[in-house]
Amino acid sequence: MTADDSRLVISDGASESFDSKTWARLLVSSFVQCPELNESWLANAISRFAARFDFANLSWSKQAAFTRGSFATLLAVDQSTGPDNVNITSVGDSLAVFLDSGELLQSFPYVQAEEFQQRPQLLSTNTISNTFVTSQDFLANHQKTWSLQGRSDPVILCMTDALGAWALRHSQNGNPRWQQLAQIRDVTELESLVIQERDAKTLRVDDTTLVLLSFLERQQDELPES
Amino acid sequence: MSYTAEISRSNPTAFLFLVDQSGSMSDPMNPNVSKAQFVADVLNRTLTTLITRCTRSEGTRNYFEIGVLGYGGEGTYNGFQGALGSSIINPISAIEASPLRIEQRKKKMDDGAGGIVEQSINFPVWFEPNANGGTPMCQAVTRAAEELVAWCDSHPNSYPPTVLHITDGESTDGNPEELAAQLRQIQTNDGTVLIFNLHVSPSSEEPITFPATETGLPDVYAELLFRMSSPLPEHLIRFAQEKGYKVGMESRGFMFNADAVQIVEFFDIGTRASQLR
Repeated sequence: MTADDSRLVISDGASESFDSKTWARLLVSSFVQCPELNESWLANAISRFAARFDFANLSWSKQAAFTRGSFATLLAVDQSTGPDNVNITSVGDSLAVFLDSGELLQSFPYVQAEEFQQRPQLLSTNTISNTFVTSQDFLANHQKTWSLQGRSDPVILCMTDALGAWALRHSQNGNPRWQQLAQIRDVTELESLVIQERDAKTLRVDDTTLVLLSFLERQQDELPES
Repeated sequence: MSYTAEISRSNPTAFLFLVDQSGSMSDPMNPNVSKAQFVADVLNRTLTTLITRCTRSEGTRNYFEIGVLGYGGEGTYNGFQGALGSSIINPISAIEASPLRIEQRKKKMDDGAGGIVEQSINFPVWFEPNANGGTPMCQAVTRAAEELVAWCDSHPNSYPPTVLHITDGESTDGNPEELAAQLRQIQTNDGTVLIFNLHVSPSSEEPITFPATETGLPDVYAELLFRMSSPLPEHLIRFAQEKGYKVGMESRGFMFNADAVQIVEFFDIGTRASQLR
């Protein structure tokens, strides 16, 4: 998150990666500093990643794994352009969900749980895997703007894919869990929910992250119109 | 639901390759290479791919255990040698650590700017080509069953083992169909052992890929291999469809008269177990 709390970035590393943890952290720090996802931004992040490893002295298998690549999602919520709108940037299957008073307004990039079954595009340390970033409709497909105007209690939830699929599935089945997620206040509450749902085999076993952004305080701080 | 167990270091899965090394495997696959050499190259490349998928910056994670049984004139034997020769099924980190040698080979690669470049790549070798004698397929399937009964007993919660059987001809030591059926009865709590059969042939006859029925198969030998093959689990159906194959719920893991491209894809699809944790 930026120091002025105007931008939140999360990244979920893919399991079949050489070092997805380092790559995800680099993507987050790069986007916090400079929120312009394009070819040169990505090339710079890849260079920073490569500089952390002495490729020539890796074993043959680590060289092969390094070359195959590391992969991660990127999900950013940005309010730096003003108080009324929130800009979402998403690559991959980490999910942003827009709620108002606990009710679902929108989700991005997916709206149906079934969409999580497809193989997502991810940002890679392997340049050849990133050609989609240079396509003409890249920004149109990977950015969204949500308006906070007129909302009584706007909240954006950011979550990794296992939790996103679980939440959308419950919503589609007429049993929304949005209010429950929006009321989580500490990690032990999240852990408790995750353990319960994994035991019930309704939540896939995977690294699970949830970030809750409330915009209510910021709006209350603003002077009302006379 | 079967075939849904997550593959992890505490619950790895197993791949067991049965490779026909009978005399007819010395016949050419293409003008430059024999069937035996081509299959050995694809197997070695598949092992490299599996190792690469498991390798992280801190080392190779034991998501898979792998065995190779060759069969031919000398009976059925461990396809691995040296440090890997004392047991049939080895953890993948042990395989990573013990190639027989690492060759340097040329590979054409996309340069990311619309062009193709040739690069020198490491090509580890574990399995050597051989072509000698008859085709003791029954012996090979029996040996596979012995190995997998023990493996499943010690890995009760794992995704079941997958057997990939590569052959170019008919069994010379009896009818393996009943033995294959018994092999397919071996199970973990996540399902029964999968057997996928690949018939390799340089002929120009039309290849058959993942059929759903015996109807239309060219001869009784193809029908036999079909009956010996397991239906594809759902995630492999999806993966095969992504590769452009017409497959459905009844499709079996079986290719007949497979050409070079299909041999590579058979190995790729057959070893694409579900997501690693």
